[in-house]
Amino acid sequence: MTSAPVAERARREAPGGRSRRLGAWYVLEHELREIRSYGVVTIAEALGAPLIAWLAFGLGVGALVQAGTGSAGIDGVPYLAFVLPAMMCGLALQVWSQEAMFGTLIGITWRRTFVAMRATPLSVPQIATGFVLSVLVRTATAAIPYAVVVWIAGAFSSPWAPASVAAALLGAAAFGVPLMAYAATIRRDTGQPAMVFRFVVLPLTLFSGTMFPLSTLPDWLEWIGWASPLWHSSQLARAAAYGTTEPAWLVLVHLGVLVVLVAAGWWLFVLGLRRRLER
Amino acid sequence: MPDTAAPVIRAHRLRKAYGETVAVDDVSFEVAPGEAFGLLGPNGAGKSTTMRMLGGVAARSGGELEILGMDPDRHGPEVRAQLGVVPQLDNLDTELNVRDNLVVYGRYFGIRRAEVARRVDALLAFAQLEEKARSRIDDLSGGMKRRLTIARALVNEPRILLLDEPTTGLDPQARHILWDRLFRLKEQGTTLVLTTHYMDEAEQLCDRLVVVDQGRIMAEGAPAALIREHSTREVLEVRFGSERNAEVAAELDDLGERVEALPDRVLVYAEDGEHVLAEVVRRGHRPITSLVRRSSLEDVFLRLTGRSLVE
Repeated sequence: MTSAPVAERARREAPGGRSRRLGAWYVLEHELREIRSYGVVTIAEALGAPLIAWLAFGLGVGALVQAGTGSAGIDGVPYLAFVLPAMMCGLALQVWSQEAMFGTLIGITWRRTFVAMRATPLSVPQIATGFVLSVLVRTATAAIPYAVVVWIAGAFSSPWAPASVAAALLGAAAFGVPLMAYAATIRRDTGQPAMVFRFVVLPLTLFSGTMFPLSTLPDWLEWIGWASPLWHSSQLARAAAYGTTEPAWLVLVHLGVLVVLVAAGWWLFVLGLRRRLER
Repeated sequence: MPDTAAPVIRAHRLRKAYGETVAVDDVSFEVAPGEAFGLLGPNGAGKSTTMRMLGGVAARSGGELEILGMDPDRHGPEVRAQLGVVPQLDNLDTELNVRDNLVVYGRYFGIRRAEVARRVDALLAFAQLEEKARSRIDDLSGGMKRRLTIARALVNEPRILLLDEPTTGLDPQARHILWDRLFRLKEQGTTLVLTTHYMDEAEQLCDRLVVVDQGRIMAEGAPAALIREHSTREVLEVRFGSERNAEVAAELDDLGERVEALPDRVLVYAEDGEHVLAEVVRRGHRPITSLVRRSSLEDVFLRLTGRSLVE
């Protein structure tokens, strides 16, 4: 059962060559058009979140903590400088988590946009990569304005400070990409997204050394921080924002943990999508 | 034989199993270029699974499959680049407007922006959606969404268009508009492969079809040939009341080629329905209603796949 000339001609004429090279970019294009459709929310969030954090931690809790720590501050810097880079990481993680969870459910189950993509020359790894890149862009639209506000607030003192945005994005991806893999396993929404946000994202935010040093927690709670991408990214962001006394090897550990989590998450996400889209 | 006459689809002993469940079992067929080919069958017959294998998104468990001479399991992207797919459930992006839905889909095929824009204009006209170009998807009627989904499937100028139950859930007007669009595609030489529950749709659109049940092909041929082969020229439908239908049917057993007693009516399959009706009356039976009609594909379908409800 062969018809080699027909096959050869069809392969030659196949217009999918560009898709093989640029498939992930086309998915990104699609997702960016969607992001544009809710641009007002994006702008409001980008400006509102850091201003609220500035007010709360600069004038509210921050004033109280600062009064307690005196001129020594925390980690050798004023409390506002200590907390804002980590808060930026927390915001990035929350934005990425929302987009990861709901974007994946939309793609596979709710609007089935990934199913539509799969009927074209696009491969599953291209769909996964394009989607991850789109969430990266979406999260950057929240993290970059945040960093600008942090800079205006005077909380950046190192020339490496812009790298704190990269740390925030990497940390968000280290949690958010594995979350995409989990979301791809949800066949019926029975409240799993709410559970994840209440019992995983919120505790991570509270126990990852974002608002206080991890060492102040009792030993039996400190492990949450060590396992948390948010702690690793917050420490990296602080190192970039004002420099820390952490040894270089620990900075490399932070980076390594985050990179491994992103890579493992992407691999599991591709597997999950294959299971759902190629039946 | 020149290349152009070679089948665009060849399926040989195609099989798909999910664990112990066999969805498609030993299915073989060929589709010629420009042909409109139908897969008919009740729910769960294996039609959509077959379509997914044709569309290169589900790997087969056994058998051989060639689409345009290529194995979709090995050359998925090349195969899908030349297919248009209209899925059973609309998967338009409701966050984008009508035009953008076509544009983003065209880009998936690697078509340059200027060319996509040109094609989208033509497709909006084809789908009679020019005035809705900036509308949100949720503002479209069911028929408009289906036309848009078909237009989207044409953006890569496919050689084969796969349509999985394209008119399910549409009102008669919307169905007729859709049929008209599909006829035009057929006239332009596009190969159509469709699944449907609607026998009139299959008769209208399909040059040839297979009746599938429980993953297997029960019959294959042109609609008229299938009717000739599996039914009679005419069917007499008579009603005697639900209490008496079975009893009277037993007394009419020698009339026509076959008699079928249903809960609400009796069907007598015969070459001359009027003649059989006269004989029924001559035997002293007085039907509450009677109807003589030509045999249809539905008679064939129900005979081959049975009348029990399949969910």
